[in-house]
Amino acid sequence: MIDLNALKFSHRKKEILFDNLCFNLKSGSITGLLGKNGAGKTTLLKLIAGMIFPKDGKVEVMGYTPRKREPNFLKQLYYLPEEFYLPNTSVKFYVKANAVFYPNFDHELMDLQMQKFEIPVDNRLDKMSYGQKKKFLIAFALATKSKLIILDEPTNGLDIPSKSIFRRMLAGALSEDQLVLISTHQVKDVENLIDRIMILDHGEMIMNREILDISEKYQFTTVRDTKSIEPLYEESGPIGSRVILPGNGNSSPVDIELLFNATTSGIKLT
Amino acid sequence: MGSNNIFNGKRFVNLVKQYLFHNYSGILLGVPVMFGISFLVIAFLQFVKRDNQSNDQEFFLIFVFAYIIIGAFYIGSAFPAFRHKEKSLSYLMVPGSALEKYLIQFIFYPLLYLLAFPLLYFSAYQLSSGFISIVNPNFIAFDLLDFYQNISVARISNNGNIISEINYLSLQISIGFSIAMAFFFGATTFKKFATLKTLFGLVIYIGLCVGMMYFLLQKIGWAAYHPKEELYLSPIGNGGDHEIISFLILGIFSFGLIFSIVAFLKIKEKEV
Repeated sequence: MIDLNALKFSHRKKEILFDNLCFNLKSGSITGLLGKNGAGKTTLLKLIAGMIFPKDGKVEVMGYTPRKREPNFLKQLYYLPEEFYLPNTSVKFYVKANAVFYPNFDHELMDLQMQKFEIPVDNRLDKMSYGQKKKFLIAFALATKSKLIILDEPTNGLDIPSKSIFRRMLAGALSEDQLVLISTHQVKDVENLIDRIMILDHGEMIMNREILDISEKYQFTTVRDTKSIEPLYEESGPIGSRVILPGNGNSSPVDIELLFNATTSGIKLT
Repeated sequence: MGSNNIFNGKRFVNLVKQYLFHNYSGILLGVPVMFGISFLVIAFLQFVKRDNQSNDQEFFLIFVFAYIIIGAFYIGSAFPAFRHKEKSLSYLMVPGSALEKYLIQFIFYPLLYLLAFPLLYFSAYQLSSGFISIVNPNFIAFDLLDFYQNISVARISNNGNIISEINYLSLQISIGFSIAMAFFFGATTFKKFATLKTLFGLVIYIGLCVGMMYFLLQKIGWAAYHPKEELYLSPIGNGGDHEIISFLILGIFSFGLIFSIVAFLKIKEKEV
C-alpha cells in the first residue's frame, strides 16, 4: 500500500532530513510511527499524504503518486493532522458537506462513534473544545472507511476516558483492506493497539516490524536483580529493572516504551 | 472504478455545495452589507448635494473607485485557506482536483465580484434616487445608466451623421478581468497581506513598463519617428480604431490569462 524508495527530503534551507529512506507497508494493520520530537514523523506523514514533495526518490501510495493529489487518491485517504481546522458550521452540516467525498462513508458508524465520544450532533464546531473537535475528527476519519487513515498525534488533547474509547473504537472499526498509520511520541497511548511498529530517529527508520514478531523473539519483563541474567537492555525503576531478554521460545507482551528507548539508544534488536 | 481526475461534474457540484455549506453565512451577509453601504453612501451624497444633479458624474467615479479598491481586497482574499497552515492542509486534502478547486474560487471571488458589485451599486443608486425623489420633489438625479451606456460606446460622426460606433464593453471586461486575475494570482502566491503585496508588485511592474516606454520613446528616439499616415500602426492592421481596440483587448486579456494560468499552477504545486 505504501512504498517508499530512496526518498530524499529536506526542508528549505535546512540540512537533509531523509536520505535514501526506504520502506513499504501493506494493508490490514494499525501501524504506530514512533519517534522523538523532531524525528521527522509529521514530515513523513505529509510526504505520504502528498502535502509536501520529495526532493528525490519514489513515494507510491495505493498505486498513486501522492504529490499529484488526484481525487481518486484523496478519496481513499484521510489525514488527520495534529493541528487542524474546522469551519464555523454545525456538526450536521459538516458531515453533510464532507461525507459525500468518501465513497465508503458509514453514517451509522459516525453516529455510533459520536455517541461513544458524547458529542452532541446539534453542536456548532466552533463552540467545541479542542478535545471535542479532535474526537469529532477521529470519528469522522474512521467513518470514512478510507483505505489509508493517517492520524498524527491523535491522542493529544484527549482526556483519559476518551483515550481508551479511541483505542477500542479504532480496534473495532477497521477492515482487512485498511491501513491506519498513527504517529505519536506518547508511546503508552498506542500500547495494545498497534500491530506493527515503526521507529524513526533522526530521519532514519531504525525499526519496522510486527509486534507479534517482536513478542516472539524477546521477553519484556521486570526483575529485581539483573546479576544472574544478561539483558539486551535494561532500565532501572523503583521496584526493580525493566529488561529486554532474548525470547528463547517464550513470548511476552511488548513493552513499547522499553522497546522504543532501547532502539533509540542504539540497541540493535535483530 | 475511479472518476476523472481532472474534472468531474458530480464532484464539482459537491465541492460547490461544500463551499456553500461552510460559507453561506458570509455570502448571505456580504450581499446585503454591500448593497446597504452603497445605498447609504449614495443616499447621503444625493441628500446633501444640490437638487439638480443631472451632471454630477462623481457617482460614476465613486463606482469606479470603489469597484477597484473593494475588488482588490475581496479578490485578494481568495483562497482563504492559504492564509493558515491548518486550513491549507484541510483544503488540499479534500478529494477534488486542482482544476475544480480553482474554478470554485474563481466563481466565488473574481467572477461573483465582477458581476455582483456593479449590479448592487446600480440597484442601490436607482433605489436611492427613487427614495430621494419621494423626500425631495425638486430632486433631479444623475442618470448613471445612461452615462455608462454613453461612455461604453463611442460614436464617430460626420456632419451630424454617425458613421462608426466603437463598443468599449469588451475592453472594459478585459481590463476588469486582468486586474482581477492579478489579485487572484496574488491570493494564491502570498500567505499574508496578499492584496498589498500584489499592489506593490503591480506598481513595480507598471513602473518598469513606463520606464521602458520612456526609454524607448525619449532616449532611443522613437518619439521622433513620424510615419506616413498609411503606415501608422501598420503591424496591427489598417482597420482603424476598431483594429486598435481589438489589439488592446487581446493584449490586456492575455495579461489576465497568464495570471490565471500561473495562479492555477501555484495551487497544483502548493506545499504545506
